[in-house]
Amino acid sequence: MSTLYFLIPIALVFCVITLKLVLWAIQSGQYSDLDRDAHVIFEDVELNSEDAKDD
Amino acid sequence: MVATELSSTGNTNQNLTPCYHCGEPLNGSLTFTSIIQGKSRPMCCAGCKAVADLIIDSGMASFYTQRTHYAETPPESVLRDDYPSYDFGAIEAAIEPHNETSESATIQLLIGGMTCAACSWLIERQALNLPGVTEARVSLTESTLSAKVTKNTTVATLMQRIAELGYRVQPVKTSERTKLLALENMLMLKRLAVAGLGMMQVGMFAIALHAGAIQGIELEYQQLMRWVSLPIALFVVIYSGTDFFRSAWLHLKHGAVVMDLPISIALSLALGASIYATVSAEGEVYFDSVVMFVFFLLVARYFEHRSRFSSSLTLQKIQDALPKLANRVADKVLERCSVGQLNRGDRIRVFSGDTLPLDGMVLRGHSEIDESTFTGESIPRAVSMGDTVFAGTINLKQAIDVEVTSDPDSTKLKALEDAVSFAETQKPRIAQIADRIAGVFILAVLSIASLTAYYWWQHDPENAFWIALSVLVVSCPCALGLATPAALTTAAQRLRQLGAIIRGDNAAEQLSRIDTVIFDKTGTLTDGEFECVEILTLKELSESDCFLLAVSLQAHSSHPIASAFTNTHASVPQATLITTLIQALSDASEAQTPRTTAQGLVFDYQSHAIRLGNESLLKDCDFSLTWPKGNLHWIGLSIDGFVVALFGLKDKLRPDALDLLQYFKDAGIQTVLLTGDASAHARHFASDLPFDDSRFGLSAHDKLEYLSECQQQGACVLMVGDGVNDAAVLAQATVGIAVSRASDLARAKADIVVTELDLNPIKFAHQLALKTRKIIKQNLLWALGYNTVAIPLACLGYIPPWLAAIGMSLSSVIVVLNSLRIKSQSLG
Repeated sequence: MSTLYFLIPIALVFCVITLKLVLWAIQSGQYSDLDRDAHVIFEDVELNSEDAKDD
Repeated sequence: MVATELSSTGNTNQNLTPCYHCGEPLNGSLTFTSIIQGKSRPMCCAGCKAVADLIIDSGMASFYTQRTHYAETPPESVLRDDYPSYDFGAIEAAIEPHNETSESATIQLLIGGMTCAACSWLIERQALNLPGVTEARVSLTESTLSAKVTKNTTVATLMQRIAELGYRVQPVKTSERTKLLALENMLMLKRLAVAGLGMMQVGMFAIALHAGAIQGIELEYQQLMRWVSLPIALFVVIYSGTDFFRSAWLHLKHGAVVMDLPISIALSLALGASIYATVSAEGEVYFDSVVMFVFFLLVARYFEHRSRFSSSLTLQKIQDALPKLANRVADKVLERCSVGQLNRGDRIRVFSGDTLPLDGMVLRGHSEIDESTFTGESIPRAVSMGDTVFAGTINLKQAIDVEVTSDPDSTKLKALEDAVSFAETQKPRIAQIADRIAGVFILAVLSIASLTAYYWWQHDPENAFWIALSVLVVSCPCALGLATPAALTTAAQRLRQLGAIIRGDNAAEQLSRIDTVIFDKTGTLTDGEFECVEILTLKELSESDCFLLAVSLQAHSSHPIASAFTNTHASVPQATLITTLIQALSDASEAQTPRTTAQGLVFDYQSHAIRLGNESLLKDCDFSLTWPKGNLHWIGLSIDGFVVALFGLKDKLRPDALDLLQYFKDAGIQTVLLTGDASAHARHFASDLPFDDSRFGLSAHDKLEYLSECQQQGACVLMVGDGVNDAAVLAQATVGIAVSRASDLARAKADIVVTELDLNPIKFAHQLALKTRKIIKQNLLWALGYNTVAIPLACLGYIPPWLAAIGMSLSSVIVVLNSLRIKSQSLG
């Protein structure tokens, strides 16, 4: 049980890191338009594959 | 029109292939095809083909593989040059300079017709391909494109390009309020994230503690869990919960009691007691309940905020679109001066294409004035010496000299705007039910909690504190507060997909109460397109031959009345002269195209002189009849000095107008027509349609009076309009809806702005409003029911604080889930 003294702080460190990341994502406006950003990831892939076709 | 999903082809007949672009079934023969990704694809119309070819030519074929919905069928009229008028002044106002010196500016355009995320991709790429556009970002939530453009870029080119893709585009301006709301939105999300993460952490430790309470736990580890939970809960309350305390305190200072007060009391009591229990190592801790409480309160607030945020789009004001500079003619010398320097009696020159800066009287020249922003009337008004012209209208043809007869503050436009601001204050406001009962509810909650505390203090002092706390938590009207905003937000989202944007606060809720609907005629029920309903032939030529010649001539014109001339029957001309002329027109070279004048079209071919236009164009021709007066708009065709035919035109009813009127009629809603048109044609128009009441020849003021009368009799009125002269009525009506292509002022004052070209979204909006109201009622019933049952139980001590927090959260979740049902309601 004494490992708790070791594990809980580690959990907390990860929690703080996650929190920082989420706050950064919100600050950079990534959540301002939830309808569109869901598709951004596909658009880039599509563009690259098209470039490859052109070559 | 609602975009069809790709999986459902939208037609039941298996033999018919749908149009590859818009999914409409192809009628008849395969006339249009486009090569897309190496395959020949069927297209239903020239509009779709034009858009598809444009997409392919600019190397964006992947639009077709990425999309999830068919695109809209582009209306052919959009493909015509619709945007030049925006080049002058209006665009200047749309551009919002960061500061005077910066090289680039950000503009905002409202885009209609986006059906899925692939559309936003397409628009962004096309915008970035244009020179001068450095950044482009489409927001699907707001249906806007914000583009960073370098100075001196013609925004009209950008708008034109987007229109060519089959979308509709209007300039908008971001207001300070929008920016503030965007910042607030970000802050709220951060608070929500902190509370959410904190809830998970504290919840984890709470499970250990609860398990420990059942199975037994060493005091050492119990204390460890508590000490770890304490700073997290404290941080969450301080970071995410400050607004509750601040708002409660601010209101209390001014003697007002708001829901934040019992929330603050409950939070501080629970947190305080838990901290005391941790430090003294005895009693119970409720850190998890505290954090969960904060989280769910914030979720409710966030929903409420979203419903306000979506309605904050401020559309551009027409006053901003007035030119800032004018050309003054003093001692026969032309000089540029600012509009503010002009005095009454000054002579100014207004060139073709310019917007008039002030009201005035024409001193010299003939021209045509586009007054469509004022009245919705798409036929320009011909003016000559002595005629009055108004600020904000556009001079279309030749330059005219105008004597200024108004100050910038006394123009007709300004008077209309003032009428609008006044009308806004007259708008009946229906208070939200939740607001009305909130004050009483809060006081009741506070007194019940204190009474409970007092009672239990007498009988069981050990538990009194926790029971009173449970009462506070359980009574928190989170669900009650969520009931309306959650439903309204969902309704607004759904309606945006259906082609209308809700701007007014609670517009959806109020729309469900309307019992009278008022329509404007020109530009609202009619769409600025014309049809030829009567042909008078005066010589030996047949009706069909005259019409065919007119069609060929009008093909070279962009004037609104050209829309009346389309060869729908594919007839062939009989007379040889006509055949020759039509042939000449169809392969007319640059030098041989018809000239457009203020009065009509002039075409000289070999020895023939052909004129098509109004009375004044044909005044020298041989003409034995008197020019017909009355209900139709007449134009004449002359060949070699002989008038051969007269065409009677009338503005065309929008195809779905009858359907919409019938819908309201069936729903038991009074339909009223108020129009400025006093002609017999307007009366004829009204008698064909199911109106309960119709008034003709009304000024903007008359319309307002009619509305006030209705409202005094207790009617809830929906106004549907488009012109500047409707703006005041739109503002004062219970709900105002501006149709697409409405004037800027009308859009700015309407509660709902239709982005589609048809009228269907109005029907959808009303149906959705009725469903939304039903959902709101269910939500309120549930929330109130929950509180009435839970509070007595809590008072009796049956509900520990942690159960109270869970119950409170669950009732909120149920309200949200119920509201989401609006998204799947079927409309028809």
